[in-house]
Amino acid sequence: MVTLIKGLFGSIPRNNGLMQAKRYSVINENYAKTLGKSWLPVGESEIRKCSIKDIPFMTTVDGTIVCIPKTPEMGMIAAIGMTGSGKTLCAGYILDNVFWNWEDKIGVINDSQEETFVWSESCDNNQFKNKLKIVDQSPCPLPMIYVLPSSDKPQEKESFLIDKNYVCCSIPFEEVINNVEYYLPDLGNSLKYLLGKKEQLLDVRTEDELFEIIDAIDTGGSGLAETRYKLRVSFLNLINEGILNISNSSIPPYLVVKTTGDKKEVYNGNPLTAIMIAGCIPSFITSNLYTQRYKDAIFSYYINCLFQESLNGIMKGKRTWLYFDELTKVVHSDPRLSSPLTEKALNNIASRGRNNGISLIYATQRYNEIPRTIRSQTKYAVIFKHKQKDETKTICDDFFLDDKSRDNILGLKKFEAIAATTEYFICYKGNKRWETNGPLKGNIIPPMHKNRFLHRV
Amino acid sequence: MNFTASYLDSKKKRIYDELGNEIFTIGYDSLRYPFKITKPCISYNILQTKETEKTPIITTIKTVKEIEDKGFILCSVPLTKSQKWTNYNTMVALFRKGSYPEHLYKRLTGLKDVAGIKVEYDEANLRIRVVGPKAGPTGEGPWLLL
Repeated sequence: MVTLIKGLFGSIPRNNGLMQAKRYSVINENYAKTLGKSWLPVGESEIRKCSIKDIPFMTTVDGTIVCIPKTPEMGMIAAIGMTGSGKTLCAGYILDNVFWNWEDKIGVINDSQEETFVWSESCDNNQFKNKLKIVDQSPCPLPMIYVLPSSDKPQEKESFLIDKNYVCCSIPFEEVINNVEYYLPDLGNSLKYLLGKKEQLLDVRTEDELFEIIDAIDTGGSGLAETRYKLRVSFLNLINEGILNISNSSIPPYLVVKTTGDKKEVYNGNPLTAIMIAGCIPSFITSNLYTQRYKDAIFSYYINCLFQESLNGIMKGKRTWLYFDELTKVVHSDPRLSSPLTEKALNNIASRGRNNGISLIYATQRYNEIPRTIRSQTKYAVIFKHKQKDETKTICDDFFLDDKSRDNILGLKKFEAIAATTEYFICYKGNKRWETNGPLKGNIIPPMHKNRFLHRV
Repeated sequence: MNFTASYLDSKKKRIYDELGNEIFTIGYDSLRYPFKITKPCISYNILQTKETEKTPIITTIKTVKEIEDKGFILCSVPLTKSQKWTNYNTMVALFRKGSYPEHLYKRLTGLKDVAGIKVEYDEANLRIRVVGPKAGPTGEGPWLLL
């Protein structure tokens, strides 16, 4: 035990009695805080718990716990840094506490790397478990329900979905008909004939009814056969690609939430909202969606639904956080690479969401490629290591960081971060609690749930 | 074991498709997950020290001479960019006589030299400190025992 103590805290000089006594007291103090009362130093009466109402995410070198405060206006939170630096871990821990302690609703909107498949399991990394003890927490999973797009084949992900709850959902047929120019952009002149039958199409219940209506289209002149053929083939493609589903009840477009016992209906609508109302966290698995040409329309549909629910639906008055991992895969500041509909939907949330109870938590490797509207609403940034200095320029400009902080960013180690804000952080140390503008440097607190790429150590 | 199934069951909610059919890929399990599904609270431990302090009797020291008589000197300490907590470039601190390097810090000769600063003396516990916006991030300097 003496060797262990020496190893942990360095050698204790033997010829300075006072220094030795002080070090010993500090050693016992640290042990007492983690292991219990029997390690209390002489003269100390007891261990006292101080509770934290804010969301901690980092500890500094001197033991200060840095937290994000709960404010009525929800500001966006960003985790920025190169791959493998700890962004997803940091965002994951913030989501853990937002869900369990703030009791806000969370939706994972793009899980492109299928990382959330293990979030419904507890953390099993010993190093992380020890770090969680600083804030008196232990491993705890999140109640995840995975939402697979209808174009996915669940059999391909079978090994990940054992003992997990998931549902395959399709886009509602009404959504396709109301936005047919986005789902069928190549119709050309045929579009006007289709739109003429819109009211009838909205009542369709099977694929056969759909094709009957198409076959009944009359162009009143030449090109009738070509028009009907073009429309039929376009809809068949949508059905074959799994985007359109009219009659297959195993891939529902809407979900219904009811209470057990009296079976009272609580909600009927968008799957992501339904899962949140049921008390769980939906995770939209988008690993295959990026190859689809409808990804823009599909993303924007779900984001718009969630925004509308927050504005004047069942989520009004509740706080909702949408998590995006690798946000630049969804929207991009370069118009050639961006998805215009999704960007419009996210800009809506960025500009109007904070007063309507909906906001974003996102992780990205390239902050300067995030659209400006989203960057301007980002209030809190946890900045991890970057490779090159020019990558840090935009972050430093947005968060008023000086050149010294920029150099510090390049020199950060794994799981080290600099926290910056345009508002304030809350710090806890001893029995003191205070506000600070930052920036602050420290180590992140890992999540309570399991991480897919950091296994048992 | 399926944690979400156990959690959903505890929430007394069920999810169906739009026709009212159960979704077979969403399970509910009345068996409780190995640990309680309780909210993980956030707290940290500090040591509660014995009450050896007497009830403070605080007076304000009005002149620099009184500070010096007690064995302290009031100085203005420059701050670097990373140390600053407000727009001020310096802070005010107390040093024991004979302990500070004279060429490093500017010695203050009057309490009126710095606006908003006052020096408090605790007669019961025999300690002294600086209070004000330039004293520290929390507006107070540390108590120094005489």
